[in-house]
Amino acid sequence: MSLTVEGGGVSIGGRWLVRQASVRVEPGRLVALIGPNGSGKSTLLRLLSGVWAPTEGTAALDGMPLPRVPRRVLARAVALVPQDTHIAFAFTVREIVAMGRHAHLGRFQREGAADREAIAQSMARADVSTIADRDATGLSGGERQRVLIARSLATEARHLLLDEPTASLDVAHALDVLALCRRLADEGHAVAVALHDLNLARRFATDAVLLRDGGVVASGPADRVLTPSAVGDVFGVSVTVATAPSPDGSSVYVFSRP
Amino acid sequence: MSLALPRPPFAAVLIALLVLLVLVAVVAIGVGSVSIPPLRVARLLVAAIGAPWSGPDADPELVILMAIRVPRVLVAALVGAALAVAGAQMQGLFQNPMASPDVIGTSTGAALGAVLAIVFGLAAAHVAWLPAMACLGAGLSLAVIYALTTRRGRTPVAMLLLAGVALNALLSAMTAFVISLSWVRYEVAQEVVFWLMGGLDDRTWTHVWLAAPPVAIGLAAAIALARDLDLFSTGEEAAATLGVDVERAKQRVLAVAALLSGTAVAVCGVIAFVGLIVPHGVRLVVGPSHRRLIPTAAIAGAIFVVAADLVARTVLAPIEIRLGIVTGICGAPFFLWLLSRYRREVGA
Repeated sequence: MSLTVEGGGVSIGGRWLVRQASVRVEPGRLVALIGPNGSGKSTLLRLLSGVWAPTEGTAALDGMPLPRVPRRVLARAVALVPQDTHIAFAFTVREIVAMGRHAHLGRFQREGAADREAIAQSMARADVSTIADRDATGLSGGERQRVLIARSLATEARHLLLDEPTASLDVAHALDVLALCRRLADEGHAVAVALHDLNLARRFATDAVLLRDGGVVASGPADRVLTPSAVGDVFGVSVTVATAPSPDGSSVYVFSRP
Repeated sequence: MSLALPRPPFAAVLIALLVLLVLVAVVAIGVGSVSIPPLRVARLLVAAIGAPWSGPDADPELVILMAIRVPRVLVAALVGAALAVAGAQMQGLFQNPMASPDVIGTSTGAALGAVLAIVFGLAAAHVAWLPAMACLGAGLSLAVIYALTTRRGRTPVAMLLLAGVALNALLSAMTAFVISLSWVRYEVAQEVVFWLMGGLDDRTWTHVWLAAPPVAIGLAAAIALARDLDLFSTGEEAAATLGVDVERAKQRVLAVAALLSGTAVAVCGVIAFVGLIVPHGVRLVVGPSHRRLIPTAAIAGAIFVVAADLVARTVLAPIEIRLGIVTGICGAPFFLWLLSRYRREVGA
């Protein structure tokens, strides 16, 4: 049970978005993809989800190359929460979450008790049960983000990929979402999250992949990858470590331009 | 509009619309140069089941109903259902409530085929020639738009939209060219222009049997593709990760929409706005889910065109207004209202 990209790369119009990248998303792990804008985080998630086929290298689910995995099988195994949360029509929140059951249902099959249970639980976990009957186009960006997270949970996929899920969330919901991701990982899910907030990444991720210019700079356990010097080097900033007077006494990174 | 409108139960909406369709159809069948009250229409129709309605012994009223009015109303209903469903599909595919079945050029292609059939005298030779040529035109324009926009199995919808604009312009120009060449033959030119305005005069059972199978197939296929279209509404990549074969779904939706709109043009000419306003209005009532939207739009579209045809042949009787003019006069203001609403929504 693992989702991997090995020596993977994507080239579009002669430009390499990602080259020679290797990432492993395994059960029980929460992998943070860290890197500046344009470093290839979203591209890597697209490779892992099978949306894009690699130009070089391989992307595989349990050793089986993704292009050979039937689409519906892949949809039940790997879920992606996209960065773009635009919703074209006035579906209710519940209808959006129910879309996560698509790969579980036949073309003319209606939702059964198991589907409804999965939908209700997913909405509860992503904290959108109270807005289940609202028009999803009228929600705030953060609410829509959580609705799409609920939809990814409704797929019951064991691999969850989230593309900057906290980008439009307030502090409380950002903490909730990452705590949820970590809990899912602890329960045996394999989770990969593209993140911009390094302190959140250090706090919640078990592993980290540091990216720059489409290449993997370092990968491994989060505390060994996200060192002040490595992070400062990749982002081109100075990193000061401060011990936060928080309940767990953890340290935080403070950034400044050199 | 953050609160969803309370939606009436789907079954209730369907039943109400079906009842309305039957009522409108009975009225439409009764009204004409020889008017027959609705109750008598209903009685005659029920009595007509299994009874002969041609031959020397037949009731003259029944002959009028069965030979003239019933096929006309049936064709109107088929056309309305086809255009509304094709419109719902195009709006779902383009993720835009202002798309219509005309955007990819299929209707214009069908119109050109039909115009050629009229100009070359085929339409006068046999009643099936015009619909056949229209279907050929629709199929060819669909093939052209595929060929122009598909690269390595991918058909981006933005490309489809732009190629559709160009193809529409080209086909319209070719149609105008054909009309201008035939202008010296006054009757032919008149027939072409009238046909292009859309209408259901002199529609027979032949037209019913020509239109019914493709519309039935198209409707069934559209319902089968309904959930795929739902998943398009959060983007193609999201749809793909949720298990939709995006490119194949797109091609199927396009083919079904082309079949439906091509069939409609083939038996009734060009009638605007049905495919735009009906699905939009229906979406306001039953919500955007295509599993509810498509069957509801089919019935509502049928009601709309049967009613529009009734207006077209009664308002200035004995002169018939062309059907496309009626739908245009009803549809254009609605479209403008829609535009202003949409503009508010996007904050432009």
